[in-house]
Amino acid sequence: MIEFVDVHKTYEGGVEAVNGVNFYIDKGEFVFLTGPSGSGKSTLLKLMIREEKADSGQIILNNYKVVTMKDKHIPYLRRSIGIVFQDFRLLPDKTVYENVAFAMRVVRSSARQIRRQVPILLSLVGLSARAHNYPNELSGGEQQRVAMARALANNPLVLIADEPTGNLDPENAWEIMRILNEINMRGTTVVVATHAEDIVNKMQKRVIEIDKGRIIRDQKHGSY
Amino acid sequence: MGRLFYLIGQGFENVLKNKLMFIASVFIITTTLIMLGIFTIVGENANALVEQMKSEQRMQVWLDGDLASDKTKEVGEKLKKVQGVDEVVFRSKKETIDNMRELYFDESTIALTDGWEDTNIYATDSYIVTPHDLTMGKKLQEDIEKIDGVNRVAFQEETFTKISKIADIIKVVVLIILIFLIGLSFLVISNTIKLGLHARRKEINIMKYIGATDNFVKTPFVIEAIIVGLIGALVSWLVTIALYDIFKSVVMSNQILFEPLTLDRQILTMNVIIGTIISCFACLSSINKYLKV
Repeated sequence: MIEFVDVHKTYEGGVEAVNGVNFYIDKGEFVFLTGPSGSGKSTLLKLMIREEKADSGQIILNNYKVVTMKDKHIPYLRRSIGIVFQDFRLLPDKTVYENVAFAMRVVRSSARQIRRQVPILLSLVGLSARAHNYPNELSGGEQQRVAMARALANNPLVLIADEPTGNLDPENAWEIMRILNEINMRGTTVVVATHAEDIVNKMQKRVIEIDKGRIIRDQKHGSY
Repeated sequence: MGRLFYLIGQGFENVLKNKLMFIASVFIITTTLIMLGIFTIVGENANALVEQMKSEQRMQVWLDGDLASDKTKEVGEKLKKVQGVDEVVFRSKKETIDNMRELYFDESTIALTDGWEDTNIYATDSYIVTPHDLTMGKKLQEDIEKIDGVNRVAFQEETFTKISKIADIIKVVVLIILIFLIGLSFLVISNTIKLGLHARRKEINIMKYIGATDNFVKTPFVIEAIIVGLIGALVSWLVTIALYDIFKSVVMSNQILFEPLTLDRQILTMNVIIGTIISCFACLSSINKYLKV
């Protein structure tokens, strides 16, 4: 499902963000990426979605060879992945409904499919009543739930979340993790980069710990 | 096709959702194109005025005093065939004398001209010749004087040359300033569109993260840029033509001997082309950097 094979990434200025990383994530797994700030967690996620390009090695994700793929195929890679960001990244001039629908428009879903699917997704994240609100009318937790609904719009096999609870209070943070867990229970592979120690400790999922661009720990039911 | 309509609809929706930016962009484009339109009108009319002055320059070809009428006609035919002659109009001796009486004599002195038809050796039959090229006046004079029956050719060589030079200078100056203003319009309109895109760069980034292709992201923005350019072009055209109509009515009411040109269609075409093409081009050229995520 997701495989990193001897991946290296050095930024301009000589910073070795990822240094010979190898791991494999199977279908249906729930994995936390942990490590201190600057350890390379976010870089790993950026490499997965080709926001950054690895200098060497290979990344296989949903059968896409991410490192060597042509730029024009990047949109198709990203459509097969659900992505959730720390800062939500909702389209500010579209309603909740339109934000989720937009992800389906991108893959040429019909109006009928959109009308059927979006309410289901909003219901999944508990925001059916907020369909016609704009992002600036929502709380942080609600915005993140919209982002998750959008990430699920095209039934991705993999959902990647970069610090999804970073801007949320504990109550909302747990709500987000509950939804992520539920998504994972339905068969979606989930990869979460996080600093949230108590969440990692409580959920006891697989933990891949990174420091200075290297994997220092890979534990099946790990703690922070 | 449905997807294309959706994207075009998104373009229109973007205009409605970003009203302030839309109004600001239209205002800037309108102002720029009004300046360009006004200068174009000034330039075109200046050129037309000078061309009119050029076309009013004539040569008077005086014939020999004792020329028979058939010979007079023969000279006229020969004049028409001379290279560089646009028009030839006969003026009889009587017309010339009447003209002189009207210009130079009043009621108290008109009696001095009694008998001129027989005694005035200076007024003969003549032809008024309009030259094609004022700068070739001297050569034309030499060619005409070779014709049998022609006594002398009168024309103001210095005036011919000056008017011709002025016409050329005006043409060049108008062209240079027009090119400069078009370049300036390009810069201003282009930067206006780029600023609008820069303000929405996060939105563009987000669409790319979700998996939108470059064309899917670009199309609504291009539509928006075209709408902005088109509306700016139309508003500036209406304002420019309204101002020009006021100017024309002033000219007409003051009986100034010059008829301003009708330039409505030219100004509209220029505005639409410059407004929409530059907006579209500016959008396409500057959106790419926000698509690289």
